[in-house]
Amino acid sequence: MSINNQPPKPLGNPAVATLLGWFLPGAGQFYLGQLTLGLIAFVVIEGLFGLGYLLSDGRVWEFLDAELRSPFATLLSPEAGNLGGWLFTKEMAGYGPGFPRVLPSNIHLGSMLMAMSGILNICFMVRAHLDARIGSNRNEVSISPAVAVGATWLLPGLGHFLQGRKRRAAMVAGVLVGLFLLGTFFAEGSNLSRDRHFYYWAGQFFLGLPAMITELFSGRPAVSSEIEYMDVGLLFASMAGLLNILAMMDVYAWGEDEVMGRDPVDSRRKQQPEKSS
Amino acid sequence: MSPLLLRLFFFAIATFAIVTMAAFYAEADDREALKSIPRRFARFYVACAVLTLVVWAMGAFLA
Repeated sequence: MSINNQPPKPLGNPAVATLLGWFLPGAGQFYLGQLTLGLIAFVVIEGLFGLGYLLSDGRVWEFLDAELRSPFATLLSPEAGNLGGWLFTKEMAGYGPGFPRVLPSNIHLGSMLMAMSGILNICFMVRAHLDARIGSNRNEVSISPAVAVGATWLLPGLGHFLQGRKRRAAMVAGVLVGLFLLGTFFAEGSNLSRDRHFYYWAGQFFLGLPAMITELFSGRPAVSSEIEYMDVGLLFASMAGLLNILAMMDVYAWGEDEVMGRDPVDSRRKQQPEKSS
Repeated sequence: MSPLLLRLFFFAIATFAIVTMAAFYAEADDREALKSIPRRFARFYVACAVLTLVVWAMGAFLA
């Protein structure tokens, strides 16, 4: 890592860049003058969203239990990371006609792609926020903080690994994937279906590939009797995904310190309240 | 295993995951993070036990 002692040169207002990107993928990069990156963000994120919407026929929100439906109930789902897509789904499909219908065969794959578009957009929003603050006057690092965040979502611990923190990577992966598998064991796989547990599924989706692969390979097992420890399983699996957000924040903080030329360990220590002896 | 012990065991697993990730988020240095886990675990577990007792007592006396 080369150290650059020049002060940051902001490219724009970080809040504006982030909010623009939230409404329209890539708009934050366009605002900062990063046209190619903005175009890539737009095509990839809206491509994932559009494909997911087509495969699911826009009916993913019909998974939500009728008594939980409200205008903003689906903001607690990963699709909300792509607010434009979220608004599009709300206006075009919503919760459907209000009576049960046969669901499209590819709705689960479509649901995953739409959710992925939200997570990926969050990574681009992170990038826009950092770029707006420090501009091009940054230290060279092995991996950009936004990519590290995305890698950590994809596989818990991968972001740490790419940052060279191999021991922490192994521990994060072990704790989170272990907790998810334990939860899936206790819930007997019933946690792996979005139509059965809309919000718990949203939580565990933050675990990335381990959750997606387990779901795809499990075939979403049918439940024919009461599962004794289902609540414990749902809680563990969902917690694993939500705790991965802490891991994503950890890799981001480390990456930001590196980009800014600060020592990540010292920097974090200074943010801690004074410990009483 | 009695239901109470089983629940305490399940909660210990959840507590371990929560405090481990919290320690990693709070401490950038691996050694410091690992060293703080037992203290964080004890504090979180006991605090939750106290909270549970308060909620239980409120339910029992105010219901």
